[in-house]
Amino acid sequence: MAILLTLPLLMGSVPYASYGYGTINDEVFPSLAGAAPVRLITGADLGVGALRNPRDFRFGKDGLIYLADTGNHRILVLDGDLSVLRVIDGFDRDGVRETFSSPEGVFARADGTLYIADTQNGRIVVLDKDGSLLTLMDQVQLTGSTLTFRPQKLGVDGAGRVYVVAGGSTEGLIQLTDEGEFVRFFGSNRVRPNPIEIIYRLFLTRTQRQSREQFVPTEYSNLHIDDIDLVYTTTRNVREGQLKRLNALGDDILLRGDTGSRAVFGDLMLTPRNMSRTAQFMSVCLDADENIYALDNATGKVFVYDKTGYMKFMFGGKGDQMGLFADPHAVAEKDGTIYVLDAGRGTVTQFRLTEFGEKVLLANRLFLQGDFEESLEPWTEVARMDAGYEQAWYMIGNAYFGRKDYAAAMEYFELGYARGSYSRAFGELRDDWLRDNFAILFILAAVGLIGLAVYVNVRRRQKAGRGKAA
Amino acid sequence: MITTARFAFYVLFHPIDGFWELKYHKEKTFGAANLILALLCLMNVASMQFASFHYGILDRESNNILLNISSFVLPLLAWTVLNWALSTLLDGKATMKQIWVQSVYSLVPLLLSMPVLLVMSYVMTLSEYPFYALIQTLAVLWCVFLFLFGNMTIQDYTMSKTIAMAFFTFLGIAATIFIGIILFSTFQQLISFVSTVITEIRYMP
Repeated sequence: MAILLTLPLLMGSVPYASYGYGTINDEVFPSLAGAAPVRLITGADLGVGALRNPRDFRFGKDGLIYLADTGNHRILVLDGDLSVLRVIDGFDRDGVRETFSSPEGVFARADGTLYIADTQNGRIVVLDKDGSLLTLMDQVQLTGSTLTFRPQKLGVDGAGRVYVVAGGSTEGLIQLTDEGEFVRFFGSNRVRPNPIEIIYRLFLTRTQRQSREQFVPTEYSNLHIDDIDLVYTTTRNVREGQLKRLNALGDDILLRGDTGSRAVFGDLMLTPRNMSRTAQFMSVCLDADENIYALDNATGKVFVYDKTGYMKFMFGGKGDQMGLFADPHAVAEKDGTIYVLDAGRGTVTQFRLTEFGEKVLLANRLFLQGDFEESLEPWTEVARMDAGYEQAWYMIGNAYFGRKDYAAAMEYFELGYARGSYSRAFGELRDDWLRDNFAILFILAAVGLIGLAVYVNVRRRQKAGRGKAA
Repeated sequence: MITTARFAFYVLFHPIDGFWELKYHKEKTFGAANLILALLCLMNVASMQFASFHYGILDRESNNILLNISSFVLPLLAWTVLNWALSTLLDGKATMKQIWVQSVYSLVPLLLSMPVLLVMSYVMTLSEYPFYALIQTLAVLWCVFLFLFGNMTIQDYTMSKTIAMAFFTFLGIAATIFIGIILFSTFQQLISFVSTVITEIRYMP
């Protein structure tokens, strides 16, 4: 409660609360804002009329921004300064003009080849960078599934394999060849059966069982392909695996912190508005250091995780001011500028990392690279700006540990509630001490042992003497 | 009293003789037992408060000394009362005071282990925890051993009957807690009912 009351004081000029996760009892502690809104962009600002229910906003591998203006059935191509380069609202197919129907996803490869998930037409349109049709994937047969193909989001890896998030696809991502041939379902979410439900079902008739909710895996909500062709996915309504990083086998290889609540993907701050810890991730993107920006549609917050799965800070929220959203659907990042697309209002909000956010990410990058020494200065700076930022103390402790200054390391680990690391530092300190004082200790032990032996011997003789006397 | 308290060391290694002596031949055993219990509480608080960072509790600020002590004393009290209540029905030979004294004397291994563990927490790392746990477990096992033999001696029971009685005492404790909770919530309801009625009457037009 106290935290809730003090939060507005710390918010400064941003209209949302910023907080980190503590080690003790899943506590939430207020922190400085990691990013602040700088600009709100509407369709009118772009000069293309109001956006209607836009669903996707993505940096292409060619560096341009691609915005799926779903309600207006068009794709906008923007440059880095957010001025419109092209508006794509259709293509020529054998001389006949064809249009899109509610395209929800878009992806561009490095050569500008554009993949459009033409959702309501049930097809994927591939255009070259001048807008002429390359491939039309409209005959996708999903083997072993009765699903109608409704592509929503897509990504293409370096080899041209297409990964598609499709509505209702509980089997996982759909993988297609570059020609649009169905290959396989990829990286399906696992079902987690509920034991009570299983027992309950034992007592039901078949008809009753069929009317119960089915145990089906949850469908993916979005995907992002990173630079080495691993697929990041988001899933809504799940307690585990909200964020995944899939390798070629479809296994999740995302790191999730080491222990405790800092490894949770989702909001730990429970408010009347947000009573659930299940994040509704709608979109995910990475920055150059592989920090993960994940957009939670339920709370409207963008959570920033580093590549080891630790939550660094968050920003955004639900509401009416700049920096808050009605129904956010996409997040994209470039050079410390973060864009969030609000489908509900048809706007794009531009955020900039604050000094604090930049420091945290810089220090964290150095730390993860193993430059403990280098990371000491920025982490100290972070701790100076926000002494409540628990991770900073832990990281400073690590820097001192790397420097073999174990006493200082212990002090900082204690501030960061890092018990295991504290113990490690303490062990080193103790062993050093033992090593330095080994000679003295050895002599003391030897003297003690000899003394004891003499004492026992004397006592025994005394007793024997007394026995004889009696 | 102090001499009687020091007799605990004898009881430690000679439970049957020791508890027999304690019951029939020692003076001021009640005071001695309470002295030991006070020491035990003190040690328990000390080890909570002063254990090294990596062996202690993380959140020292929320450490509640009263809660800590009552988590020790209340179960002991419940055991004493329930064990007495049951043993009087099943021809036990001990008074309630004697059961109390015996229970506290049985906890002496715990009292002895605590300072050792406290010191160990400043010498050992977390990876050496098994040694720490070993001493902890040994102390607890020893306590159980003393508890059983002590109870057997002062009640003049056989071992199997002592174990059965211990089992039923635990059942009794559970039942007591259950009834206590029911009583508590009933009174809570009653109080809130009365206060609601009073409010209604006060603001009646």
